Amino acid sequence: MLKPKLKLDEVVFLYGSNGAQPFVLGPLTFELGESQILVVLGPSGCGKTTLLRLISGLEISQRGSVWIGDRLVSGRNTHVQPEKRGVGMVFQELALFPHLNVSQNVGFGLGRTGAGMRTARVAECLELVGLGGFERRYPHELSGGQKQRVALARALAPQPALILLDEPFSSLDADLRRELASDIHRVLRETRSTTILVTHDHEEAFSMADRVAVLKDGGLVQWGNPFDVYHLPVSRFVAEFMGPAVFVEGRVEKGGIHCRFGNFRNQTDLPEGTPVDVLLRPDDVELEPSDSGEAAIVARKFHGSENIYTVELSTGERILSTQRSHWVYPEGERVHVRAELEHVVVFRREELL
Amino acid sequence: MTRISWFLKRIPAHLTAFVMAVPLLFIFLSMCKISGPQWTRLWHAELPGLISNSFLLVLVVTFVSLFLGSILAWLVEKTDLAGRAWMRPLLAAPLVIPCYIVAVSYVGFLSMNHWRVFYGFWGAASLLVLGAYPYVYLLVWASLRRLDPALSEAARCMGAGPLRRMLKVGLPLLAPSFVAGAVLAAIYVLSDFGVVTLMRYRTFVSAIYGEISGRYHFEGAAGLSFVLILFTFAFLSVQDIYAGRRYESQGGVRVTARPVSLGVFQIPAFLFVCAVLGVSLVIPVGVLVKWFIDSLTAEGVARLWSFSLGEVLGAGLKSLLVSSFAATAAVILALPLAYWTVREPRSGWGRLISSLSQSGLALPGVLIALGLGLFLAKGAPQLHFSAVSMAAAFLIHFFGQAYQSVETGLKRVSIPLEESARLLGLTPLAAFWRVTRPILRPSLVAGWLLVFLNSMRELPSALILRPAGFDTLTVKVWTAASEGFYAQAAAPALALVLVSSPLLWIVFHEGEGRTPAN
Repeated sequence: MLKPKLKLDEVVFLYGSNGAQPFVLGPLTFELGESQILVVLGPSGCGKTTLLRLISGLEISQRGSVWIGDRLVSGRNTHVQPEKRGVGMVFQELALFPHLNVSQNVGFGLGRTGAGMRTARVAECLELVGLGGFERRYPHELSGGQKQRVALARALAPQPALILLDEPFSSLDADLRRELASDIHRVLRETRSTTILVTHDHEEAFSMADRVAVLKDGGLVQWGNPFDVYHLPVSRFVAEFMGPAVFVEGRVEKGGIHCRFGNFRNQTDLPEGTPVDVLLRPDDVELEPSDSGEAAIVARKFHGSENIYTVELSTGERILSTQRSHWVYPEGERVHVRAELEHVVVFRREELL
Repeated sequence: MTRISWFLKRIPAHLTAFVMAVPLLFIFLSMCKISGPQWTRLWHAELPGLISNSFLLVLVVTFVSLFLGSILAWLVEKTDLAGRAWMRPLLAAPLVIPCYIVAVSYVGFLSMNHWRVFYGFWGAASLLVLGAYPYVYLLVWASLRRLDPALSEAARCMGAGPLRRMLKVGLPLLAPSFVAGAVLAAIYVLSDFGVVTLMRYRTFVSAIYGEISGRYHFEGAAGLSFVLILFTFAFLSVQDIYAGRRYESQGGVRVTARPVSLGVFQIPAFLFVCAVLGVSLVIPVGVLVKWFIDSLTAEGVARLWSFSLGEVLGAGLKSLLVSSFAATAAVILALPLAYWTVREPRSGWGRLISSLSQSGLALPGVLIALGLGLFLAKGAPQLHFSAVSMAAAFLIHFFGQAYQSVETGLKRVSIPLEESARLLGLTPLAAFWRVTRPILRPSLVAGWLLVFLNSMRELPSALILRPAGFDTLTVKVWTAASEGFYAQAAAPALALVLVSSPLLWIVFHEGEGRTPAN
């Protein structure tokens, strides 16, 4: 692995400690390499934003240490002030200075640079985010996407060791979101920025991340590359959070995992006889229209490039299946269901009382 | 649109604006009659002294209140000062005590104990600071609350230390509220009558009052008034220049900032706030309460010094009558005017009409009484010096507050809202009654209350326009105090303070960003 640019070691943060229910973040331990993009995923309230605030120094952790490069910025008896950390942050609400124009906003962090250098750097950063020529505008004269770009340019301008982005696309509509996400991804790659991006949208995570971290209730539940996190989730929660997922009953047997769709390789070390749930992604499930089919189509959702079918099995269980856009069958159609699992993901079934 | 409805929309609005402009108009007309030698006298004998006196007072009071108000707002909103939660409303509370009552209680308190009263400039300046700082405090406090802490955090992440954050982010964003506070304080000082008269300090207002009441020299008064009006509007235009720079916050404030730790300054800061509260609130109210209790228990000759309950009740009733008349008229007149200015595209003419009708807010009460008196003397002498003329003066003085409330309320009733009521089968009148009126109601109530409460407290125009024997609460306080019967002033003064207290509630909730009466 490359030399770590950011390292967290057993970082713990408690808040609302005087309230009834203290919230605990951590203990968190991870490393992020030079120029890597980490996407932190999790539902709201899981501590994503707090993690960014701890790394930037806006909050002080109770335990553990944080290194940026070779420098200890937070640890026992050490707390480097945010203004001395050299961390760029794009806030969820952007926090553009309303009394300064675009060029003054972007130039804000270029403290002791000479005027010529400053203008050049501001122009360079604005060019990078595609906003050349907007120098004299004020924040209220910009659209949502443009504000976002200014906020990124402002964070990049002082060439920080680390860029932190807090839900940068949450306030934008879907189309703009995709366009901006790919633009920002390009900029981060071009500037070779070590980045942490926080979001609750798994599609955003898959398109940008080198590493994905999944947070739940303040704890790190999974760390890995996007492919692994999608295909080999470590828990039911991660499986469901990463995209549409259904589970069917199964059992560990001698030859592998047995369920109603057949036998699959056993990639776990669960003992024989264990009742399990098998993860089915919609793209694992094949449908074949047939009058003798054991299942029936109950709903179709058209997504343009694909159809997502909800199918009810004879047991009453419902599963999802992705089909091509032109593959159209009406509700009530009987079908055969086949499952083809590349990765067999099972979880021990929790016995319901 | 038919011709009739075109006129129906415009005529009430224009009539209202005309009524509100009467004092300005007649002061101007009367000034035009001043002869050359009279101008020369004014110019050489009066104006230089008045200008330097007034400006010195404005300058000192504005700067001290700006400083005091801002420091207090910062202490209670941004630091970990102990007790800041109860200090927040209390620091604004002195504005429920009319400033002349504070002055009366200090003068009485000091002279009854045979201590020295600092008449003149310093006395007037210190008392006016006590009256003006709560306004600055409220404005700065409200904008500190709306200041997004994320801005300061963003600056931190870009390497800005505390000083740079204050100079480059905090102060520029608060600047509009500083300007608004300073202009408010300056106009407060320029239009004050009670304090400068009691402190025997000559400003424009006390000189104009002297010309009217002592020498019956109305042209001279009009000349001085005209100059004063020019200065007032000059101050207001400063604020207008800055009004365009109000910075809209980008979305809601999500981050709550960690309060600044005062450390070793915790105790001095606490004592400082307590001292301010003591001087501006506890001492004046305490003195009034003491006098009140003393006069209840007085016997024999001392009873002469006290008040009779019947008199106070009678005065209260008169105040109530005139003020509620003014408030009701203000709300009724404000409705058509606000309808027109909110719903029609704003033209230059519309803006002129609306600012003309609010001009009373910026003018000293003495000028309104003077202008109205000039008009009544010509147009309706039988109404001059009557309860009607008092109510009219209050109406003109405070109409702007009713108008602003109604305007804010009407902006919340969107046209599609009324249109959808129409499509559901309601006539225009029924739509107004069932949709517009309920939404508008809190604003109407707030507007009525503001005009009513300010009318209850208004001193100079009541003093000038009252008919013989028609003593309102304010007049009672004033006449008792100016004859040295301070204890007699206590009961009506306390009554005024009590009646004014809802005012604090309205302005404090506005500062918190909530609408009153919700």
